[in-house]
Amino acid sequence: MIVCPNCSRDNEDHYKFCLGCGTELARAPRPVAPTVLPQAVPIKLPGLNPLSAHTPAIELPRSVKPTLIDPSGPRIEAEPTPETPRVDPTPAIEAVPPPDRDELPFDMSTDGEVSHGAVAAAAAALSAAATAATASPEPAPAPASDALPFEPVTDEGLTAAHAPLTEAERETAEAPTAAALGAALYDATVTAPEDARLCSTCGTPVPEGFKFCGVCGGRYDARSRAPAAVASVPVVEAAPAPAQLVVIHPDGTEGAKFSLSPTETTVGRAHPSPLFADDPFLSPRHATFYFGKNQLFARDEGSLNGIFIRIKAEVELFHGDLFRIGQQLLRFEELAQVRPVLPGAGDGTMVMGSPVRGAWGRLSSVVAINTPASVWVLRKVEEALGRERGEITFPDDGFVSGSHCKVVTRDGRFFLQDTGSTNGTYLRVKAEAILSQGDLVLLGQQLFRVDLKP
Amino acid sequence: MAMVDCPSCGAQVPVEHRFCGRCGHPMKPSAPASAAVQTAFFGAMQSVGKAKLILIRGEGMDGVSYHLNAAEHIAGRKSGAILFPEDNYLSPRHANFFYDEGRLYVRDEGALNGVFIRLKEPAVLEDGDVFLAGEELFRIELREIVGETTSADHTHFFASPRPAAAGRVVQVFEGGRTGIVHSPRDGAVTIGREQCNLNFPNDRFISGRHCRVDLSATTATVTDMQSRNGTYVRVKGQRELAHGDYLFVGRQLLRVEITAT
Repeated sequence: MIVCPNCSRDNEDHYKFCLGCGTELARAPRPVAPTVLPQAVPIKLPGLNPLSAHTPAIELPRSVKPTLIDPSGPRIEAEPTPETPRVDPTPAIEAVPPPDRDELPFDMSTDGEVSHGAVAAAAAALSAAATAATASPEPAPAPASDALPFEPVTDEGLTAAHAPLTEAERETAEAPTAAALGAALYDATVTAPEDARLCSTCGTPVPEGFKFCGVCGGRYDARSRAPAAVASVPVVEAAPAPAQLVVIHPDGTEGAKFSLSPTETTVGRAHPSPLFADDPFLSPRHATFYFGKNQLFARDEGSLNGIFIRIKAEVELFHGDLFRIGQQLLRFEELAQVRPVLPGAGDGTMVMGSPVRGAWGRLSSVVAINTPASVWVLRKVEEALGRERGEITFPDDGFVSGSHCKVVTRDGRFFLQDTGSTNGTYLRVKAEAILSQGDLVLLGQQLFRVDLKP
Repeated sequence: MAMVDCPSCGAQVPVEHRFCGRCGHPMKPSAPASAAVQTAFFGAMQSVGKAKLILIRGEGMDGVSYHLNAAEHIAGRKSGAILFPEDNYLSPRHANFFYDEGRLYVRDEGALNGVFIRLKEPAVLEDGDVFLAGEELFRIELREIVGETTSADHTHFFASPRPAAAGRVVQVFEGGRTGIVHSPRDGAVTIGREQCNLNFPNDRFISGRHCRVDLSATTATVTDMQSRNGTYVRVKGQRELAHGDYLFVGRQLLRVEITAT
């Protein structure tokens, strides 16, 4: 538990912001060893028993370093570190080389928990590769950017630290509560310098003198600056993509863009893009985006957490539908379809209980797979949900608006309306849905905006 | 038209009718019911240590009395001396009122809905126990909610935050569906018509502030807040009855009168 310094509320260890008041929570500092990378670094991993004689001391010869680079992940985050290359003592953990899962000294898959150590180590290892490229006194072999046809360093005194994962993204993997709706997964938006040449299509830095983007092939147009300040190359797409998913940060700024194939694109944890690969809340094959009849469809591939789309005005609700507001995952049930949990006697005796008195539905908060906890009964024609106002309140959830949404019954049907919430109301897609320009889509821990190109 | 009460179900039956039009119970042909009741009443007064159950009808009026003069008396929908054939919340054989060493007990005969007794003082309930407030029936749940948070392919489930406390109060609808499930943050739940944690504005039998439940890890304490109609807990097994106890047997509310000791 982390106790909020502002409102004293207990927060789960993985929360970055207080659920009660939104204050950023201090986190335990990562172990730092006061050594600059020597030839070999013995490492004790957090998460392993430090008393164990078998604690692996990982020998990391210099020559191993190139294998740290994930060739499938051509990603670049141009970090604004114009003043100086990193000279900090290198955290010891950064030297852990987990080039692939088999070689990890811990198993990320055994207990389903991505251990803190594992994630941190994996992320730090990638970071170490990048750090080596810039801060190492030796010439660094093969930084991640070698996968690209150019050196993505601008000539503006920007010593690009090609951190394949930003600090924020590392946090992402440890922050399961996520952010539904903007709950803070990222520490900061990594912005490119004002005058960087960024591809207007995919946001990749385009070196001086290049007319086309080396990543997406888009023509570089000096007049139209990249729409997003973030330089990131999530995917290599040979042809201009007909649509893309744009990461929306909690502060509303745009992040990396992910181009969708003109045919179909399946994303999930198994996808090589770092946008998806590190998200433990994505199923290996999570969702497929495809074009049909000139429309973009999103299909749920039987994923655990599904695809949620922000509702615009009102959507019809059906028995069993799931929706999210703030940190809450709620299930709607039509009362007539709810099965009794108490068995009858079979002798004509009726089960005694509270009169139903016109109740028509239930909402449950889902706290584990198929596991409801709190349940609210829907009885009025309109039942309002909010942090403070309404029949159903979530006073502890700082991501729910004071008045957030309504569940309504009309003519024997049921509807969900957003009532001007800040963070929106998201309905889970059943099977598949048509996406429109500007739709906001939650996949795992990340929020994307759908950009359809004309 | 002169009416008498059916001795079985309490329905109003015209004096000249030979059977109760509601339950079919044979009516005594001539003697006015009130006289019969009075006669029996005085008879009961004479039998030391014997008790009777008085059926409470709408607005708190006394109805039929059931004199408990034998060793045991079965209440039920189909059999027994205390018969409520029209109350579907009674099991065919529901409860037994019996004496043991001169004391009156009620025993649940394995009834589906059981026998509820009005609280005179706070009661300590366990996981699965039920109680009544007004027309609302609640179950106490103290077990922690268990559920997988990771799927077989190691995907983490994106779930609502868990309630701060493990214990919860669960409303049970007639027919056995679950209604409200409330997990109080501080372990205390007030129940009533208004300004409580759980409000039932349309329940005519619930008081403004009716009762409260204090949940701990292993027990729940139910306290009646001087409600007009009282808070009732289900009798587990058997229980000794005292003068002035109120019982719900199905929909029937009975008052216990123990004549003398």
